[in-house]
Amino acid sequence: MKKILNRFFVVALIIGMGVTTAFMLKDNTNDYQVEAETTATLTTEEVKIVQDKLKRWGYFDGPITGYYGPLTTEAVKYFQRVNGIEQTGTVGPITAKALGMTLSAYSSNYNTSNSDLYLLAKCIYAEARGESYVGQVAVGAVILNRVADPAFPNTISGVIYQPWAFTAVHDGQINLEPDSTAYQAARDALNGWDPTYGSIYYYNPATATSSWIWSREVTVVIGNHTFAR
Amino acid sequence: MEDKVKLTNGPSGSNNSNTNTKAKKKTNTAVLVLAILCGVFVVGMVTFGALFINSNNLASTYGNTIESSYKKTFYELLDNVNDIELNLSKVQVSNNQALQQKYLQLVSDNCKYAQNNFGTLPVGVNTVNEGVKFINQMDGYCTSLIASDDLLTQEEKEQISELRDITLELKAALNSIVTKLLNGYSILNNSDFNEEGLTNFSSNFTGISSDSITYPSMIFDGPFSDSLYNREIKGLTGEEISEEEATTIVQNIFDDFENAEVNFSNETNGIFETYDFEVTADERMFFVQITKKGGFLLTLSSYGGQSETISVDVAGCEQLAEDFATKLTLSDMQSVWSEDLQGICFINLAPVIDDVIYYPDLIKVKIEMSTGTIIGWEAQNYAYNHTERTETTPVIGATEARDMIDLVLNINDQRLCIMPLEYGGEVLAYEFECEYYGDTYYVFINAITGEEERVLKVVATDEGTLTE
Repeated sequence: MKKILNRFFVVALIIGMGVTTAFMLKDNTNDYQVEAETTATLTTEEVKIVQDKLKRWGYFDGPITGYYGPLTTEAVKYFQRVNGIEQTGTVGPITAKALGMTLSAYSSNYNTSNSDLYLLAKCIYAEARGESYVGQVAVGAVILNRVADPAFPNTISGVIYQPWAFTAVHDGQINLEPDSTAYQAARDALNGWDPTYGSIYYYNPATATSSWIWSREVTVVIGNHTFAR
Repeated sequence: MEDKVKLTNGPSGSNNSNTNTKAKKKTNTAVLVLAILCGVFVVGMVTFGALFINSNNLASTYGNTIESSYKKTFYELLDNVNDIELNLSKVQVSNNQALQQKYLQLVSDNCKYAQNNFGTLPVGVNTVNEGVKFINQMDGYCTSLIASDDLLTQEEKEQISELRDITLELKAALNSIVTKLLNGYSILNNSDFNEEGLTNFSSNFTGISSDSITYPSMIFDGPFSDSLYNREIKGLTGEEISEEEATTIVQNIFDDFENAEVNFSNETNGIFETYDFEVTADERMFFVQITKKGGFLLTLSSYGGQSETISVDVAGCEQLAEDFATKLTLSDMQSVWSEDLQGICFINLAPVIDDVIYYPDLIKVKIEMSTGTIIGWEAQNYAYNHTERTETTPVIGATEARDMIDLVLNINDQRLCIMPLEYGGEVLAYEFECEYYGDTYYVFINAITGEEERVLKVVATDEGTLTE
């Protein structure tokens, strides 16, 4: 009977472990796979470079830690004062230039334009990766035409994430990583390329179910997509 | 006797005990199997139950979070529309310019929040777009009133009054939904989009469609004005051409290629009407659009391979772009800006006539630097704007214009140009390239009035150098 109990416990233990693993796995799926990417003004490596340069040039005599603390701030101010730069204690593009280094990100404009391009490329890739190059530019152009149109949200992210505006957002394909073609198409669209000449809708006539969309004025058919105003 | 029995029963007894042991073992095994099965079943049920409760709890937590987020968006929208109406009414009664501007600014701000909130609610795109258009145009109109920097005229006040009336109707339509929400209506449970791209929740918004509210057509000097969508096309002249004539034009464009295959693909009937072609040349596909009116090359587009090897440098690409324009009989086109990015050269061409740059007529060209192939041509602006200009003589002298520039700027270069205004129209201006703390700026001084028209800052990004 003891043996039976032992075996019972062993089996129960195995199952128990299985259950625990299942829970652990389940928990893992709850760790959203979105990597929050906030570009700091300076990365740790960049702070180390700043400290190293300031130390070698005699502006800083603390340890090279990669931590931007009060010692580094004072050293940067000292460097700025000597080099005729406004003493902010922080490293912007001018100080960086004087230090002879390039920062990975140094202005808010930089981030804005970059994330817009990325988002646009993602939506183009998700919605039209099977289309020709110009078919991809056209999808990007529709998104930008919507941004400019008063009847739609006024930002690229607002247009892309408007509920049910794009199937790829709804089914999660928007999270796929765009390829270089989609990037190039997005860049062209942002540069003003619009092969659809003002379209704000497109649909695949083979799969479109909304009767409403047929009432719009068709501008052009490119590949599988019909574009409309 | 016992012994005997033992003796006699010995072997049979041992036989019996053998059988008993086997039977016992069988029983043991059966019990064990049963126990395992029970164990599996019980643990399985517990696991399933736990997972079920857990996932249900999670789903319910997510559901509540989304529901709260939707409700917040809706109530904020309601606040925004209330604030728009309130401030419009204040503009109506105020006679102080500073106050009018303050209230107009509040209207404009709330319009921005409102359009943002409209765009987040789970309603079909086509359910609310007329309401959103109205709100965006109201924002544009208020912005243009603020920019005019003047006390409102009687006419403008009447327009404000009309906007307020419509906002009141919007408000009433939204208020009817509030009653539902307060009675436990769930937005999330009514958020599934059907085939028409509509949700049950969408049906609550019919009150803001143009069937219920008569929205005005709005024309003003600001963003989203109706006038921006009906621009006159000045640059296309000449007769309407046939598809065959367009084919010949395309063949001529590609005559440098051996065996270019030109295939008519479609007609586009957008703002511009074009014949569209797919051209295969050098194992590459080009998409080409020729305007029906005048047979003008509007778009040429192809994908450029990214290559480390560069056979044509930026200056060479600029020359290629200018030569290509000449081939298309567009004279006086000069490269006014160029940038190379990952093996592709981007060039802006503009007409330069008597040393005046015509920025509104910009043509964008893309050249693959490894082969020197023109892989992009975009001439929408040229088609819209190109005409012969009469006002090209400045009233203000260059030195006088220079004096308008902030003294802290180092001026590197100056040119005369025609610059496009943000919301339509154009003006003759001096363009000064200036430097300030290592950054490059372009400052535009109106050559007729001497006013500073615009400042552009050159920004370096991963995507090349841009002006903002």
